[in-house]
Amino acid sequence: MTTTRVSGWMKGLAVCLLVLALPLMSAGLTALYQIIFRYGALSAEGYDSAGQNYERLYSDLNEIRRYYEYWQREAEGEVLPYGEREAMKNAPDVCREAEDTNLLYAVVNAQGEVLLSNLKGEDPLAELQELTGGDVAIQSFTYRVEEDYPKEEQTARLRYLSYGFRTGLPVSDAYAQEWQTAVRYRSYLKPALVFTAVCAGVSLLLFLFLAAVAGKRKGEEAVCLNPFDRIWIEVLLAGWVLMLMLTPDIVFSVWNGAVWKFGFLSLFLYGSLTLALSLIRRLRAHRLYRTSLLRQVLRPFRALGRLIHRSAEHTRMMPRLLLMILSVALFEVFCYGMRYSALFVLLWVAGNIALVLLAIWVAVQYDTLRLATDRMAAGQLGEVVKEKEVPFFREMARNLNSAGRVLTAAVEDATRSERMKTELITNVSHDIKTPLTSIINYVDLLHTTEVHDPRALEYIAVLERKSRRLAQLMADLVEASKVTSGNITVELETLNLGELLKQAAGEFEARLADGGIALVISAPEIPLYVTADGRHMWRVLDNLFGNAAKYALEGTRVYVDLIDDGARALLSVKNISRDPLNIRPEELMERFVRGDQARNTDGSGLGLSIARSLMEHQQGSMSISIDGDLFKVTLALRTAPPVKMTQELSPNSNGPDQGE
Amino acid sequence: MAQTILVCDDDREIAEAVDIYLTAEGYRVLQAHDGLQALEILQQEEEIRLILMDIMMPRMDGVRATMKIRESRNIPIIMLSAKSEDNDKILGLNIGADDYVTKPFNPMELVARVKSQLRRYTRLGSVPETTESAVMVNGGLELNDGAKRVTVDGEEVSLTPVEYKIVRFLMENRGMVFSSAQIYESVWNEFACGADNIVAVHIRHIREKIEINPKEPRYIKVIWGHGYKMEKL
Repeated sequence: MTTTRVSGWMKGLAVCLLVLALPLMSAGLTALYQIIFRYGALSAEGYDSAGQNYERLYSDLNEIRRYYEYWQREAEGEVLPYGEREAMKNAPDVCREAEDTNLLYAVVNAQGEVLLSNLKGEDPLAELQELTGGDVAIQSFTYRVEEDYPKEEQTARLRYLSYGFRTGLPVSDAYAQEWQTAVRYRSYLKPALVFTAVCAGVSLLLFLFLAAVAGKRKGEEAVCLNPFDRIWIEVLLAGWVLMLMLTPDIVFSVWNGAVWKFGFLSLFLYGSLTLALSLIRRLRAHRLYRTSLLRQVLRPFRALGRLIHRSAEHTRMMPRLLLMILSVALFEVFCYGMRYSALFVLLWVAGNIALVLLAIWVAVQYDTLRLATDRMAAGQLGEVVKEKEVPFFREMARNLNSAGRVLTAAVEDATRSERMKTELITNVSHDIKTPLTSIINYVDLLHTTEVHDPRALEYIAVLERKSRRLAQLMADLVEASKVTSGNITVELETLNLGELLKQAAGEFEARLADGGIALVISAPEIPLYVTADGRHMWRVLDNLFGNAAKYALEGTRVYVDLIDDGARALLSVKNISRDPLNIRPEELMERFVRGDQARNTDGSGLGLSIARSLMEHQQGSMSISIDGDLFKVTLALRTAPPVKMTQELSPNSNGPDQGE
Repeated sequence: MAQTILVCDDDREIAEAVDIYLTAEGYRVLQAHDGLQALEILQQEEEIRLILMDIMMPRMDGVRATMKIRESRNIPIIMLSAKSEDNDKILGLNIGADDYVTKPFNPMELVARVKSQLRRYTRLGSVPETTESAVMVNGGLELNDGAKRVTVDGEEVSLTPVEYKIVRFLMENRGMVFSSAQIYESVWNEFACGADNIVAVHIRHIREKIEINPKEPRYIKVIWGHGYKMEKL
């Protein structure tokens, strides 16, 4: 998925525009509907039969039918109750007189006789035809008919209502006014059509744009979902379908006003678009299924399916287990059936006790095995568990033991190979040292000969220097190999790091002063006891101070700080390097790496590596940080409880004999 | 009369070099190239005062030869070997060698050690010279408190008053470990404070004066993280 270049504000703008455009489109659609369906029913000649949709006509025809019914009942000699009489009296004029109305009608029975009409002429039907220009609609109805009337009676009461409008609507009544309004509205059809089309086009474009960028955010690879996208999709779809079903009822209903239609249509469009965008985002993020209710419903079934699938793979255990459970169940059922017999109750109790004992037996073996794996994880290898102790898991125990043996062998192999490496280096160095001794000695002996050529003397000096360097390299190499392979003895004891620091500083002060480097030590007044090996700690400080003497810039100071950190004692050595240190601190601690790439100074490049290994052997640590030319080594050691060092003071005891 | 030294090394060049150094110092030098040869020469020549012995040699190695010699003689034996492991040194010293020098060696140091061993050997044979109570002896180190003199293997070393006091304090308490603060308090008679390394510096100076190789001191040893002590020899 590539990132989009569309920024957030553009999307926001599109959403705002769409929010405006959708109600405008709804308004346009509503207006069109009103124009086409409400007023569009009027033909040029006036109201036609399709005008039935029109509510005024509808109610007028209703009134006429009711009026006819009253009239008919009076005609049949029935005395109407007061209410109905009043209703008849108050019926609209159109029912009685056609003088001031455009609506003309005649009620005709099955035999074609005119019973009632608002036309008072001789032949109302002919008059109706003449005045309406033949545009007459006929409704059939029965008056006062109950369901259980016989068929003949129903036929007898069948009436036809013929009605029509005066041609050209000459009378100025409500119909004529409506017609004028309709004509005016119909002149708006074209602009409304254009307006709606533009709104629809703009909405469509905006929607397509939003659909294209849905879920994409500038600078982000992944598709972004919003909280709405986490709602179950089925719920949203159900809501949408409900709206969809309601829409025609509301929009196409005669009874609802334009505001209602407009509001509902806008709401429906908003909902549809939101849902569509959410769907696009979900599809794009491949999360449609994950955000569905279906998944939630199916989840337990899937887990069950997996379990069954896995159990099919473990065919060794499953039949046994099922057989066991089945036999236990059968036994229980059997015992239940025999529950009135004391013998079987006893059997049931005994069987269950046996079952519990079996479970305990297995559990104990399981725990034995678990403890064995714990030991193994902790590094105790070899035969970790006795097979006889865990007959239920014998195979597993055998595998564990063989794994332990293999691991032991591997560890031994690794140790042996490390030791062999050290031995090899020691032997090689021994073989090199013998000829080296001759070289050093005979170079030295050259001084006793009659060599006076200054060039020869210079060469001899070079030989002398380099052969000694070679000897130092060999010594360092052997030591590094021993230290890194752990082939050294570490005797941890409690010692005063402050005293050790003073001693080391005393050893090195002169050497550092020769290089024009001052030593600045800050240490606590009170003794700081740590757990360490004195000789190894001296070796570490020897290396660090030696490094400072070799690599520090002349005329600078070496700062040594000793801090008590509570659980640890921290000793840091800081100096300014003479050469630029364009190297990572970790690299410096690797073997044979030196701060100067040209390697033209003394030193083997093993000092820091040796020092770090020694610190690790003493359960301490060493870290290096480089900040420009500032080179800083920090040693950390565990502090020891401040034991009273009485052995130093008691006259009869020898101190720990670790002199070098 | 020139003292006779036996150099035993299978590497003829090294034996020859040692021969040259020692001859230059006025000793008479005999060479052997394996353990058996050394034993033979030792039987023929009664006058040998010191043996320099390599360890790894054909026919009979230095360790076996040394053990053989120690059965009948107690002349000084200095091991001279390329084996620089602690274990090798301890083994060599345990089977009766008096000193252990690793290859490649510094000729000056080798000669100094030879001299030291010879002086002790001859002096030990002819002691006691003086047994005044003011004289304290520890190996080749001798301190005469009456004369305020310190000698190493009979040779006088010049110490400053403070250095002398430190050596005397340590000689008086041979084998005991003192922290630098304790040494400071008993030598300067002042309360020690701060992370002052003045004692350490003085001790280094003393070692440079009385030790053949200050980095491998025989007398004043550093007990790292504890203090210093005078080794009881």
